[in-house]
Amino acid sequence: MTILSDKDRDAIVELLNIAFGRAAASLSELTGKRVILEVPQVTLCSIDQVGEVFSGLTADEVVTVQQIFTGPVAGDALLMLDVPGARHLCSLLTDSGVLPPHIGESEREVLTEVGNILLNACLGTFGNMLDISISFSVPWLRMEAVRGLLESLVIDNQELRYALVVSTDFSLKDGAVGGFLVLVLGVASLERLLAAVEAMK
Amino acid sequence: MNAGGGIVGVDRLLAGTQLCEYLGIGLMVLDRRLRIVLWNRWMTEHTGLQPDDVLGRPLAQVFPELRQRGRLNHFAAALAGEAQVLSARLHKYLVRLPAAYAGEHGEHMWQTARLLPLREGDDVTGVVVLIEDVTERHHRERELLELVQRVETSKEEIARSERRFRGVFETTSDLMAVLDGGGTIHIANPTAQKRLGGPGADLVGSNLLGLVGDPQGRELVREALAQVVATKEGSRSLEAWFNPPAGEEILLEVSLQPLPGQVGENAVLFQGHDLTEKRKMEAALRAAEEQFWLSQKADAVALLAGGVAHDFNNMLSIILGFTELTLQSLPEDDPNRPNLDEIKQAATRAGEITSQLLAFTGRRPGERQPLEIAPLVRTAAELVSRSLPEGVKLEEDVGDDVGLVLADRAQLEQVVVNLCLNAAAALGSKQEGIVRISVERCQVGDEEAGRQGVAPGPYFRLCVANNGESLDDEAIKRFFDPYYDPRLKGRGRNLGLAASHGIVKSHGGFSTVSSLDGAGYAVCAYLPVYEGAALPQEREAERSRGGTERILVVDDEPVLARLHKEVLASLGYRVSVALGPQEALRMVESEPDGFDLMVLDMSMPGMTGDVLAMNIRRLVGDVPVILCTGYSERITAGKLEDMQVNAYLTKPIRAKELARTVRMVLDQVSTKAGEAGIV
Repeated sequence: MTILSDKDRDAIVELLNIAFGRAAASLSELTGKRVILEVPQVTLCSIDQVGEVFSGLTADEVVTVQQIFTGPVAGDALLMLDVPGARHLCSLLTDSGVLPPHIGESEREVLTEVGNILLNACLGTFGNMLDISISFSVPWLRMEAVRGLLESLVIDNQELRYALVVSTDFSLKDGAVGGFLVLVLGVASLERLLAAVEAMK
Repeated sequence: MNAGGGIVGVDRLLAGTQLCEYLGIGLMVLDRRLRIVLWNRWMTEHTGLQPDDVLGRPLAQVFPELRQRGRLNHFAAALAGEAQVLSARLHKYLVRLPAAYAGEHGEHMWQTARLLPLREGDDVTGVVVLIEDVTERHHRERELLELVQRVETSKEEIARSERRFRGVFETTSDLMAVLDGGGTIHIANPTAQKRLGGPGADLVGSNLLGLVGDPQGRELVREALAQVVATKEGSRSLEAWFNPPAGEEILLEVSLQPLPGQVGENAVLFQGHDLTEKRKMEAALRAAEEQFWLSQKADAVALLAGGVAHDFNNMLSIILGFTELTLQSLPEDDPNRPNLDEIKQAATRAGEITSQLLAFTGRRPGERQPLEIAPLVRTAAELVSRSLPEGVKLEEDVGDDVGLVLADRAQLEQVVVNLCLNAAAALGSKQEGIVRISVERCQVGDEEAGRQGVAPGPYFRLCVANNGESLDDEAIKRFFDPYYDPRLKGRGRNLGLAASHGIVKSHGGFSTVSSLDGAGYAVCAYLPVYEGAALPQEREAERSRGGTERILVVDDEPVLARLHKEVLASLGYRVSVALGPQEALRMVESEPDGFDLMVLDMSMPGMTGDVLAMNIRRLVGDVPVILCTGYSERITAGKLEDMQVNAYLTKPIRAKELARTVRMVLDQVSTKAGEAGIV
């Protein structure tokens, strides 16, 4: 976890703040509510250590919106929320004001769109700022245990993978929901990303 | 259906077009300039636009509202390579279409849309647009949400009502508890704990049935509880006395109702409303009403008794008078004398009964004179001994010379008789019952005198004891209550004792009752000792003295008038009779100096005796008057003087008494006249 230098981390946080600003603006416009997205913390770790980072999640089961991105920097981008947080976020963003009893079809779509907006913003901003072309797939949502999720990220990849784990806080007038933005990268992609960040300075 | 053969990537997509035609979703493919190159059957069905109408046309031309709503940005983003998901919840729809499924809310089709970049290598060559109709799902979810909302609201309401209930539960003055089906108390409010538990004894865990005071009430509560548990609906109410381990018995209006979900399926809510005070007040009110009613009744009875006694006395006067007259005229050895003696005795007794009745009603004027108490008590005891039941023995312990009381002889005799009869009645059917009568002197100290409301000093204690059953506290407390008789257990009346009590009180004394250690009880009458001299006893043998004065007898009862005339005429008086006040006035008017004495009946129609006396005096000046009265509350010793009546006689009037009084009054008048120098 010490791979990331302070300078690199600062540079990445700066990038992310730009991306989050864009995403928050999209969400605000979409929902008519003032949405603020903040980046409290950025951690880089190897994939087998990532479980410790997620230990702060309140539930075993998590809701993830995932997108695969390809290009010079390739990997998986995920928005992770615990189930209570996901339900809370839905009720904050929609007009119902009522906590949905479960994550239903509509909630899944809303969360998918929110994840899509956030991930698009991040990846798009990364691509633009680093002047690299990144294409990304249609996002999908799934609900599963943290352990299963992590395993699916490791499987089929012989390459040592790293996770850039970004804590996120969705703040709305009526409350705040915390989650994680996770970029899972192979070591080669990570090196390219860091090099690009380095070059940006 | 497609005009995009030239668009890179579309061909590949078209391989699935046939499938897309029949998918239940809308499919459009746009080129980089957002012109429609593919339009599937779903789109035709939901827009009414044929492929020929739209293919090759810019999307914003076919759906102008896209521009207004800023949705074209999503297409631009898709062309930039970012797949877009537009959720129905946040966007409602991508393009406005009428809803196939309108539902009760539906005005437009709710859609989830996906805009996917169409790629060829690194290049994005167009946008695939997928539209899914989620109207039905949306409304279903909305209904679900509303349901959830209602549930949340009702949860809040339940919480509120629970808070309210708890408030009531904690503060109500009613007793409340939650029981299980067997009556065991699981929850109790502070009032129930206080009233049924008492300090240090936790009510929770004890059984309600065990707190019910009597077996009958317990059975009622048990039955009601079983019924509520069995039916699980409605509530049962009943009243029962409860006997808490500490504190007094309380009467509760009990309500039991099912309370499923609390302490098991058979839980029951117990509510108890305290009726003890209310019931006490009701009882007091009833007693007061009864007392009032009884006193009203007593007044009525007194009035009636007074009236009856008046008529009765008149008749007794006649019987006695004529019997005495006849006796006087018969030789000593006449065989009819004993018969007439019997009549005389019976009439005398009847007169005593009438006077008892009048004493009870408080309307008999007493004639007080100094009397030797010992012979009086002995005489009365002798009288009563004849009417005691067989097997009851009367014992006497009366000293020979115990002294004088200032009393009405008849009344005092009545006291002795009543006390003896009461004592005998207390013996019931007891074998070897003894009534013991005693008289002794005693000293009543300041303390006792204060308590009894009499003057301290020497008293006679006249005690009548029996060896029957003892009295309980209640019986002692109410012993002289005219409406209470311990022997009759409230069914009868206690007039004799109450009359005695009244007589003793009117003589400046008091009565007590006490249970005796062995058995029975003693009633004692305390009468003040008279320190003055005794009157010379009238000798029975004394012949009545007569005279020759002129007497007017006025009585509306002709037989009585004739009787009085015959008695007085037989003694030598010159007697005239008037059968009413008006006739009397006429006679006096026509002969103002014609009479030396008036003997007037008190109650006559039109004018009472005392008024007649005044009227006569107005006509003829100061003529002596003797008033004859059976019952008259208007005559008391004090009033006698006011009315200027010289003497009065109480009916039934015996011949001897009449003769003596007439002579006495005439003698007094002539003495006064002599003193004044008038002849």
